[in-house]
Amino acid sequence: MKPPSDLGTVSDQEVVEWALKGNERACRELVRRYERPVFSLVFRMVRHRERAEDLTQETFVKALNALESYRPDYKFSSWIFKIANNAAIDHLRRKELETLSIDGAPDADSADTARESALQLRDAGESPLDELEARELGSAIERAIGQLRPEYRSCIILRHVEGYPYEEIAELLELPLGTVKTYIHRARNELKQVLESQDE
Amino acid sequence: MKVRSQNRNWPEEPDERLDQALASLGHLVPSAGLGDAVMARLRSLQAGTRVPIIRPAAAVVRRRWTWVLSGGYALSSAASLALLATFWTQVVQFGTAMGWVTLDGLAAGWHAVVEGVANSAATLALQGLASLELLPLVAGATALAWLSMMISAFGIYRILAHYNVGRKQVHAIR
Repeated sequence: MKPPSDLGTVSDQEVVEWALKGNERACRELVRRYERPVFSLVFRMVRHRERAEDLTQETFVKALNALESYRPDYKFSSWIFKIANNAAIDHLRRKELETLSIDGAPDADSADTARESALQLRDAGESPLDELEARELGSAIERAIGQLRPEYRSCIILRHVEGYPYEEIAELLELPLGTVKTYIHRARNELKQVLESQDE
Repeated sequence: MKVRSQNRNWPEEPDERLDQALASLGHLVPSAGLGDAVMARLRSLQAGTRVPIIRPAAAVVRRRWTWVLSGGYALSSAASLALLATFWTQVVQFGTAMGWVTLDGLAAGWHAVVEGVANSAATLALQGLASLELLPLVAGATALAWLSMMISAFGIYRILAHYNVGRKQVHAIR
């Protein structure tokens, strides 16, 4: 039996079932669905484009290689974010955290490398002035997130980029719910302070 | 202790500017070819080899090159077979025109070869070609035929490998 021609309309759980049956298209579909969210989480954690791409690749290889251990009653996105977050945290433990450069990787050795490693912010799709303001604000918040502790970053990204409720973040990061709330509260306070200091 | 108990239920205090800034955070875009790189690494695991990180851009380039190589193999195979066919057609036409070989003789020879009989008209025809100092050409054509067969076989192998024909893809991966 073959999977439907358009896997894009099928639920994650069904795609996983096809992937478990050995269908390469299903594996690719899972990568297609989650490459941006996973890369975004990892990039904002490690602040280095190439390393983030390597870790994203590791995340998918690990996940697809261990797909049998995935429990269908759990959200696939939570499962893959958990693997990605662990990969990023492991990387940060191995390597001292670098400072964020919105204009590109700190160790970029050429203008091209710097341009390639620069953050690609979402297009606001508004007027040029709005877009410019949004870009400035986007740059400021990216810079501010880069100054947070890694555990705060995970929480903030999962909460505000992926829109996860506190309970799921706690489950995903294997932290008590109160800790997650505290982290997000403190992270927001720190972000506010950084944004205010940038305004001055 | 009171502070601690309050801490356990921190509300998210709304802040217009901060919320606006956080709302501007979107998904970032990785380099193209991540899927190719992941699948290449999974296949290597399937084959029992451990391949380190593959740069996605390299995976895309490799995929493009696979197409170029497969196309190249197919073209060179076709060209060498066409050359071989042309050569043998010319040999037979020349031999026939000169009366050294006959189509009937070749047909009989082929029939004899098929039946496994060596001393047939084909042998005679080959002897005739040899006596006409065409042996180097015959040897060359044989070598060319061998080479084109090898190129064709390798090209077909590459094309089949590219599409993973005959391979169970994910079961064996894990």
